[in-house]
Amino acid sequence: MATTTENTSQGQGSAGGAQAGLRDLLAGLASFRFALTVVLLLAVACIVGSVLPQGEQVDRYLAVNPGAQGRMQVLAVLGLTHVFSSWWFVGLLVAFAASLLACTARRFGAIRRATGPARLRVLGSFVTHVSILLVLLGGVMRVLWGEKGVLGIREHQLVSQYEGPKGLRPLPFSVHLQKFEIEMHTAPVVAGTIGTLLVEWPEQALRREFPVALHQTWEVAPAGEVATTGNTCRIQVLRYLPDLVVGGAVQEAVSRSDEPNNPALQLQVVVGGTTSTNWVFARFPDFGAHGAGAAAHPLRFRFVSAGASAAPRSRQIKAFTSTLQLVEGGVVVREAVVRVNAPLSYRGYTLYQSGYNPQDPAWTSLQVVRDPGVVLVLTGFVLMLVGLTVVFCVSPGMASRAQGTGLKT
Amino acid sequence: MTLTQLFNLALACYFAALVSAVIQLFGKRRFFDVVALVLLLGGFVAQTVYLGMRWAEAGRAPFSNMFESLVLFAWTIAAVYLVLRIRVRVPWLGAASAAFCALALAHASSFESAINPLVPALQSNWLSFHVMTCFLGYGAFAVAFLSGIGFLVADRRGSAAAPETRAALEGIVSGTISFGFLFLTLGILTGAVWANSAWGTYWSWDPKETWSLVTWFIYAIFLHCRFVRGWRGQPASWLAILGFLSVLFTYYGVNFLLSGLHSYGSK
Ligand code: HEM
Repeated sequence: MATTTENTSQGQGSAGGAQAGLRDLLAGLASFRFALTVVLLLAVACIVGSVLPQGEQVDRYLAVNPGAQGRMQVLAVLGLTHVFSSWWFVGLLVAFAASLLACTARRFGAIRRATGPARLRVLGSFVTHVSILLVLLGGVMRVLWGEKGVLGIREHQLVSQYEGPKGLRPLPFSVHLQKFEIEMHTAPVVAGTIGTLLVEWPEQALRREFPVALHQTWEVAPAGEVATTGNTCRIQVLRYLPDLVVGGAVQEAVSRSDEPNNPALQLQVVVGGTTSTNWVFARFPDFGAHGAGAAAHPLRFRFVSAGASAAPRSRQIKAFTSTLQLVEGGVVVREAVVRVNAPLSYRGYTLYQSGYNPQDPAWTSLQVVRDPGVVLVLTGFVLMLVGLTVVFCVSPGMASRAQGTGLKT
Repeated sequence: MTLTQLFNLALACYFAALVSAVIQLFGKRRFFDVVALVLLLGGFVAQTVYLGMRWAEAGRAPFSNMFESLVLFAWTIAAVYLVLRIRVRVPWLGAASAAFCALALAHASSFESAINPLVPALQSNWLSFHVMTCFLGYGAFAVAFLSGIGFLVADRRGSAAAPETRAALEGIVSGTISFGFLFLTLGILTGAVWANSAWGTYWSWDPKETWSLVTWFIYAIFLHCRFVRGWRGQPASWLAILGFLSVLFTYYGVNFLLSGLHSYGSK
């Protein structure tokens, strides 16, 4: 967004012509108008990507709105159902980086030319722009050379590979899980029910209502028929989450709080020998009623949550901890306790406490991440804050002090 | 005093500050201006004590749900306004800020206020830092928004509004946006560092993250237009208004409109 045009000399001959062309291109890339256009387009793309269902959200959206199949296909062809990994979004990021690079390069000379507080300001914005480039570069490195996956492990097991997006991947060391612990909050148990579950079997004109209780099994069979495995549906409530979110990089369903913001039940339904699991949401009664997941059984569910007072607080998890040993060539090279928010890094790999299995308390899953760009990203973050602080705090402070003492800058 | 009493006291102070500031606007009595300032300061102090007590009671920073974040929002708006008030006095802005604080607190009281334990991912010092910095930014952007509106109103009335008032509002818009931008950036970056320490991903294009980036872009455009291109007055005010609408959507709209299954909840 340079305000001055610094290239006045004209090239001569064909080599000079190419040079002049290059210079024009650079000037165009460094122009205010180009930068403004790119940033505006990026903002619009972000809005589109946050409003339209993306990636795996598309299936969930289609489950709720089965009529939108055609529309979703059109969006998919246009690259609007995976905005942030589409070629055109990547192109916009490249244009953004080019614009930043061009104008940062052109402003380099301005640092020397400026004096006093103005110089600091120019230097600060220079550092800010460079820091954004560093963050982008770090992101590119992660996409190109990063790895990510999940390592499932039971207590006393030794594991040296993890499940990546393209299958099993080896680790340059082995992980030994000494101990896995789940600590619960000790808040008082709140009496009361979670709510009621209404079960409907439309074809059989059957309608039953149950008070929800965890792990209890109910059976429904058509009235007047002898109950057999063929005509009986068995329903069990596996989990109750008062505030379901699909969180974390592994997209697991977890409860974000005890408040009934998004009460959900996970049900296991067994009918005619087939078992299926599905979620029922108090706030989204139609979710999952149609679409692929619902075909396994003929039942319809409706969950009426009892509300805030019913949240069984005693069940909320306070912390997960895994005591790990890292083993290399038969020798323990590292011992550490890994918690959520306190991962363990070794030889470029970082292990994060991730999942657990309510049925198997000795098992846990660790997320494995290798990100060669993260150092650049974090350096970029620090530089960005330094640059902005200089622009908005240090330089104005100096300027007002200079004014206060009557100095002219 | 109990938490509830302090909360009500703060709300009452902000409301009374609004009333006296409005009386001052129409009656032009200096006395009511001082009363409004004292009341606003009283509300701020009550709220500060409230936040401190809640922090002690919960054993963690009280910034983790819709109720708590709205209380924090009111507190940062009051803080930004009071700091500004040391330098400049624009009566209209006092009334508008008091109104915003009262509104945020009144709205907070419609949410469940119980102190709840945190799920493991939220148990991090980064959370306090992340929310605090974001909301300081939001508070500054709120004041910039009010000043932008104030400027447009003053400008429409043409010569009736004192030129000093317009110049002061213009200065407040760019000053608060510069401050807010620094803190919004700090907020986004601490959020990214936190996500990286909890999940190994500093950015995942979650709607909340994406909208914070949109907001960041809008204010970056403001800063360039203002400081590189020299925009002032009306266009700058409109950008300040647009930026704050984006803030509101990031904070509020994403939770309630884009929630679906991916509701980040009320951060
Ligand atoms: C969205 C990302 C960007 C951020 C956060 C950013 C940040 C900043 C900041 C904080 C300043 C200092 C403003 C002031 O003087 O008060 C600045 C100045 C400036 N920016 Fe950016 N910028 C961004 C993108 C760009 C792009 C893409 C260009 C390229 C055309 C650009 C060109 C400039 C120029 C020419 C200045 C004036 C610098 C000087 O005085 O040397 N910026 N930027």
